[in-house]
Amino acid sequence: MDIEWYLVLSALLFTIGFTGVLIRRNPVVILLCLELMLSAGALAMLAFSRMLGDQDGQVMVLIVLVVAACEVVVGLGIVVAMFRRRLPLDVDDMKELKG
Amino acid sequence: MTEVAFFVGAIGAIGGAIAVVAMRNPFYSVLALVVHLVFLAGIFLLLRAQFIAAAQIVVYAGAVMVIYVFVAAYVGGIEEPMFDSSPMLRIVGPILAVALFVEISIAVLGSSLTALGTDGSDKIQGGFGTPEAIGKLMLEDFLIAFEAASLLLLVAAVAAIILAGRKKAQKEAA
Amino acid sequence: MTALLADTTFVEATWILVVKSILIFIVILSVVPVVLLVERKLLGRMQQRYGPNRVGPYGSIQPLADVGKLLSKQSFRPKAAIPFLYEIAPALTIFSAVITLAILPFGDVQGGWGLYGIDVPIGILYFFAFSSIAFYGLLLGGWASGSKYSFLGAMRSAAQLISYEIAMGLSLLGVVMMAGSLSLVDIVKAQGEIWYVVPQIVAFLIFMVAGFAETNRVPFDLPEADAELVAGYQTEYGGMRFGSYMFAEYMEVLIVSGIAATMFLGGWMGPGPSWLDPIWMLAKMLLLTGFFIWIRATLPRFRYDQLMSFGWKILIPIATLNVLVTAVLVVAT
Repeated sequence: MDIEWYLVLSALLFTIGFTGVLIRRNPVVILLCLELMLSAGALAMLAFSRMLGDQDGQVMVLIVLVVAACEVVVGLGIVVAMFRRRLPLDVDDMKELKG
Repeated sequence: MTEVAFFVGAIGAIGGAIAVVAMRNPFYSVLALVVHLVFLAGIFLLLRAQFIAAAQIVVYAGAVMVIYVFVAAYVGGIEEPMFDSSPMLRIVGPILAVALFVEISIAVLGSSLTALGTDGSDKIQGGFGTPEAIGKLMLEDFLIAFEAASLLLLVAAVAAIILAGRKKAQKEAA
Repeated sequence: MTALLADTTFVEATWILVVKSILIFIVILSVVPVVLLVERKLLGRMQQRYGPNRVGPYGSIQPLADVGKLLSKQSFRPKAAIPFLYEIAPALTIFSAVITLAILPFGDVQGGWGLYGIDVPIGILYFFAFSSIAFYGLLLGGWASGSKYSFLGAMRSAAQLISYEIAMGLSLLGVVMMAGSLSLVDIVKAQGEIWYVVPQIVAFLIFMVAGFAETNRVPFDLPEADAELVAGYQTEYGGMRFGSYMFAEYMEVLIVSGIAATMFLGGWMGPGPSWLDPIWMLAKMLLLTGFFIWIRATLPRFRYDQLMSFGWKILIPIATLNVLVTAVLVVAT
């Protein structure tokens, strides 16, 4: 398969995730769509790594996985903290910094 | 044969992604993302990235998604009705997304990189994507990134405990 | 085949791979009922009673009778259950157990046939990947049943699984460091002089303990204990679906024994001609399975918080220490 196919697939997945982040209001689902975007980026990096025959892209993808995991952990920690304080789990309502 | 594998993987991944965005119950979105990640690992295998594929299933689908499942079960979350976001966002959002997709596709397909039209480089030796090769790279060329990533993991773990832990002094008035 | 998905060290024609996969699957499929029967009889003997001995000579056709009974039961679904997920959950558990069979090596390359499914350079990571997927079979089973006991049992079981996964991985790291490769065939070949159970005895013990926890066997079987949670995530399953969960559990026991035999007990190595290799491997697997059964007859079960604290506070530090010491010794010599 040509490398172009992988890149177009990655673009499609990225835009689906992007739509999700814009449209959804539940913070857990927004974080999920962020994950989609991150893994689409990882796919693009792997496609380029294959194109160049260079494994640096794969190491970058590993670091991206680590960063994604950390971001999820902190994001979900915030969601749980919100839930514990009986705040509504709705990003449209949590608009102010003061809480 | 590669084409069949690619299309199966691509359709699975896209289906999973659309399900993540479209499902009302957040628990189903989490499950859909797991399906998406497994199909994506299959596509990674097509790109000769076997260690990354295995690492993605172990780390992403096996650990990060587990966190999501536990939080989704604990927190739940509202089952939002379909078109609940503000009307402007409902229309502008997808339009922006389609515009972004068209733009990226034009950039990719119209690029003058001739290597994009091939099957990939021919300079691949036998150990491409194996754990030995990636380990060597990580410890020789990317050592700082590797150490920074481990530090980041430590920071994230501590942050999670502080954010989500119950404070001993002020328990929630149950 | 090489160009399609990954690098493998030894490639055969596709039809050979298909035949081999069917063969390995059938062999293990027929060993599982034997293990079931042996477990019941061994348990009986250890508890000073006969096991099942009515059906056939010495009860040997008992598994057939069990399967017949389970097949003839009505396949129901509770009203509160979610239809698709409820049915797919046992299938997922079996899938993750069976797919690990592909990397278990039953022998070296002999006469142009490698006596294993496939040997990928990421070897043992493949096992970890699919044992992480097993978590979803459990979870879906509990959640899709739509009942509180099931869900609670599933959550407990899931938390237990992910806790002991870490200890399992760390314990295998010592072996990987000593062998210098992740591929299972290479690890077996590196045990030519001495089996890794001797220098890595701590890792072996940690792996076996974590294996008990991963397969929900006594003493870690609180999530499916009758008296505590009414069989946990399996509560709402009946008939052949329950049979599938049981089948998956025994198959996982066999697979964990298989991996332990490969990584620690020298895999297929044993005195005798090379066609005896698969027999040696099966013998070691069954020996370790017998150990699982022996422990079931002997130990009481852990309370859930004791289970979790044991996994996190005791096993993981010991496993990390083991990795550290092994790393220092491997580099120093």
